[in-house]
Amino acid sequence: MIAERLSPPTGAAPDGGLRFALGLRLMPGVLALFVMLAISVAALLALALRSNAGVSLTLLQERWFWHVLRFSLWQALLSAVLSLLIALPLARTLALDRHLPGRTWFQRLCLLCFVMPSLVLITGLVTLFGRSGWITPLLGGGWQLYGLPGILIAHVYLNAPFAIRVLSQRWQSIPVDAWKISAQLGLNGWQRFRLVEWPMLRTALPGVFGFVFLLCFNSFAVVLALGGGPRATTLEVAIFQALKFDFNPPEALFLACMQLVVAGSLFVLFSRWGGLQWLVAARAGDAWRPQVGMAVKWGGRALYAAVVAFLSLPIVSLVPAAAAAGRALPWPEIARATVFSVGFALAAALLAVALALAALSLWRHFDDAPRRRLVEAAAVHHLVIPGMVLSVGVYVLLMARVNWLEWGWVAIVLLNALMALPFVFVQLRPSMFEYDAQYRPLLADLGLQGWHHWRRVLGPFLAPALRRVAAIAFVLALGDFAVFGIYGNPSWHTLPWMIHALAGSYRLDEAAAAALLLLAVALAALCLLERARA
Amino acid sequence: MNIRSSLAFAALALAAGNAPAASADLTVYTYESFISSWGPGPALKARFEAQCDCTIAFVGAEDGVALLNRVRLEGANTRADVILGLDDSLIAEARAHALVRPHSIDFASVPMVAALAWADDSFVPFDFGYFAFIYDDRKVSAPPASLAELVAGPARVIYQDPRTSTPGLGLLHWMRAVYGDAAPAAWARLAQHTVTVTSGWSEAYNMFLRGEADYVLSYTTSPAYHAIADGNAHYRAVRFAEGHVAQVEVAALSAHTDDAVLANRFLAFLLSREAQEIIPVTNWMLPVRSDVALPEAFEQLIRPDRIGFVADEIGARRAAWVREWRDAVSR
Amino acid sequence: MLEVKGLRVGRGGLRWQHDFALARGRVMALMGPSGAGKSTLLECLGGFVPPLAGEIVLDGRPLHGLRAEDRPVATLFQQHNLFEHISVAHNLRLGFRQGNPSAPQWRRVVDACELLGVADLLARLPGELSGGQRQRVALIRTVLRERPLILLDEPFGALDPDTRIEAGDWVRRVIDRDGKMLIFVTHDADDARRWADRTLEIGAA
Repeated sequence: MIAERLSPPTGAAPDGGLRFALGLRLMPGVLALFVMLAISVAALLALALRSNAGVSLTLLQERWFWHVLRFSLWQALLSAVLSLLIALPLARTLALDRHLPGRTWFQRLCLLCFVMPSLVLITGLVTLFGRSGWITPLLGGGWQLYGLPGILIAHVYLNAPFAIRVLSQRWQSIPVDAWKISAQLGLNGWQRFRLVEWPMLRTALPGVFGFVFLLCFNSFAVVLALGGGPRATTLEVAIFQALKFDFNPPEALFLACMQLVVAGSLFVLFSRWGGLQWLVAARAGDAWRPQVGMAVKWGGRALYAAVVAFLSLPIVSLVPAAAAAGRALPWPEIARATVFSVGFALAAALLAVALALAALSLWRHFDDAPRRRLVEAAAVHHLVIPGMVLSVGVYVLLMARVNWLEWGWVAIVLLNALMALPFVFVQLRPSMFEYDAQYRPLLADLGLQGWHHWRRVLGPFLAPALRRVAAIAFVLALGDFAVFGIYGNPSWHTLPWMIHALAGSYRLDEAAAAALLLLAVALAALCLLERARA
Repeated sequence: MNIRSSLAFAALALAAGNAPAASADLTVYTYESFISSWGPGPALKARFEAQCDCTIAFVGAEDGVALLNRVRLEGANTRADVILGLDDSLIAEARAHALVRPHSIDFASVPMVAALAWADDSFVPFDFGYFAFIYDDRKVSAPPASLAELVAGPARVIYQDPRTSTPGLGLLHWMRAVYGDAAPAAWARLAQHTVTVTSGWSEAYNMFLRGEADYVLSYTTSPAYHAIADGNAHYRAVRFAEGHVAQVEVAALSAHTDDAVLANRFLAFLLSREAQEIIPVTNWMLPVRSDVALPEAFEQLIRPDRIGFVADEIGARRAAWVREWRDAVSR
Repeated sequence: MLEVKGLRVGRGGLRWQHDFALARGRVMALMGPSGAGKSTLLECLGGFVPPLAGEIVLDGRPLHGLRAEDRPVATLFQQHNLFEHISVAHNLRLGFRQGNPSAPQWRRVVDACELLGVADLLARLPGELSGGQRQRVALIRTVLRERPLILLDEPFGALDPDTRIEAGDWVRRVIDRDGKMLIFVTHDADDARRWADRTLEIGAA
């Protein structure tokens, strides 16, 4: 077993020329690091400078603020726990039940919730669990969607699929030798879990939990609509209000910093509990998995069926409305919006992957924990900075020099790439780590480096992981609304924006049809991405 | 389609959608749904361009508030000639930040709707609407006669968050106009049978259409949309005896326009009969001229009395109202 | 000519000092009980463990200032010698400049594969090979790389007796013909007798 710290590849310091060559090789990483940090710092500074007063601390004295903070934390904690409770057994089923029908499609379905406009999700959940919902009669007389149940249902819908994807991936990465040894030693289910599965879970779980926690912490429209009113307000709502309705940059800045500090430190805490651990060398070609007991197998399948229904019913519930509106859709506009959506999302996804790879090249070069953590923080902190703060900050910063009407698409691509970056980076890191743990001496012995190394060896190794993260980045950017709201422009309308505009002018059925189309586009793109071979 | 070719495709598409405002003679900042293909924007653009021999470019913000923020953010860097789509609750702020300049319209020469009583030297109204609660007459047989009755009664209500949406802010204004300092108690009462408070109009309206509530906060004109677009006459607005608060949507010259003459012409065009006939059936609001011929469905709409504060007062007291509401309904 | 002078290496709390020289075309066996620092010495020569003191000189050129990537050394590790996600042939090619062996270089690789009975496996992934087959593939690549100093850590462990003789004889022939230097770790005195010119016994420190 090799712990996270690895000894440096060699003993002595390189000479001058070598150091230069080394520096050149690190350039992309350094550049990426600079872009990631500079944009956030500049955006926050730009907002701070807009307001002569600087950061406003008056909110600290308000009881309401503490109430909001407490509620944000509480609902995020509950949502994350619940999401993981559902994700864990299902991820195991996905990894171990080799004959589960429709696994590939399920994994794609798991990504669709990232692209689902909040309006569509809210409507879908109301159709299922609302007053006259499809499922409501099964829930008993006292059922009330609005309040904590609504928030939890929505957050499980939004986040459990992500956790399922990540965890089943980790489960599948358990080396086949470990399974075989456990079978050969005749371990029972519990022993096998403790000796084989738990070590993997222990390293992955805190990170996934932290991630889901943050996503729920930053949630907004869903919390308001299903939370049943302003009692259920998160910090993100307050930021939105401060920045949008009151246009009070000092307050927005204060709230954003609070969010950065509170959510950020919690995330750091969670991720330090976990960590990366390399257990046994991965070997291609062998896929033996232990037989699970009948009860576990069918229990897993029942859960699988329930989650498939839960995830797909809100989408299915769009169909009647969408079918009624299909012909009334402004098709030329929709087609254009689709092209732009896909174009932006593809560009943002590629940029996010490139940034993550550059950051990882730096990360694997550093052999000490502090510098590695700096790279990690740079790549992941966008998760805690509200997209709106980032967008407005950059807008203000450059508006005197840049005609955003003309160049807004650059910001749309760049900022969406940054927002997707945490997902990409966090998921690529274990692959990179495993690669280094297994092959570092061999790489040094063979003198493999640079483009040749990337093209011949590292690229093919990372390819499956790259496709996976590119898919996530793509759907995230495809669903973007916040960034486009600032930089958008009628000449490059996107689908989420169209849905918003349709729904905003009574055309709710058309909006449902457009939302279905958006989901279909996402699904098609996922199929293509997963089929494309690097 | 492989990744490379789809990238090229996207690049092509980006190149095709070149900058809208770069070459236009008049840049109009507005909100999104105004310029969608089903909104008033395209028709207005075509008519105006035909008579001015010029080109217009629209730039759409998410909504009126985002529009104000955008112009505020941009300051002297703005490319806007006309700012179209603020409402009366935002006027005070736009004026305070010197975002607009006086227009040259003479309201006396236009048969304006009397209830508006409009005489602002910078802002020109182009449509307006009364806030109202909408219900489905297949489900509700005896709607309340007053706001007080609705607040007291057990009917399920959905409205929008005043921190994030214009109708929500309208209700805040309305409650204050009716209840004055007793508003917190009324809010607390309403909270007991409020289903939920959404961040935007569309979530609330969609939930209402799905049967989640008996009443939803919207506009008196909403039934006209259902009647004309869906052929459904069952959605109705409740007329409250206390009177209704109005939302007046306005346009103004940007303080930084470099073609005030053309921009003024556009404002005058917005008040023309031609434009005023287009706006109601595309933006689903009421015309500001009294001499406009409208579809039959508009004649069926309730005609409430107008109450409420003047724009500057709304602007000044909004923050306090929001806090009052927040504390009353969070308890 | 490899000269190791006053080379002190350590692992954990253990310390060893080595002094020896090895001429071109010569083979040295490294023997000693488990934990005696045989692998540590190879790792030090390969550049993976920094020395505490002393010098490593290869053909008059000091090695210890060079990174592992830049040392004229080819190492066969005890494990993880093959990339699992690429084919056997691809793994073999990676031993040469830019992964592109010249025609004569590749010819030698293929000949060696035929001789050692792995020529049919070139298109497979390493995971589909037996332990002995993997060992032979890695051995062929390490020995045929254009490096004057070859380090093999227990190269014949996974091989059956017949293949063992065949592989060892082949390695010896390559060393003789190319004038390379070889140091290999073994537990078997027969191996040392058969192929090594000299044996370095390492005792517990």
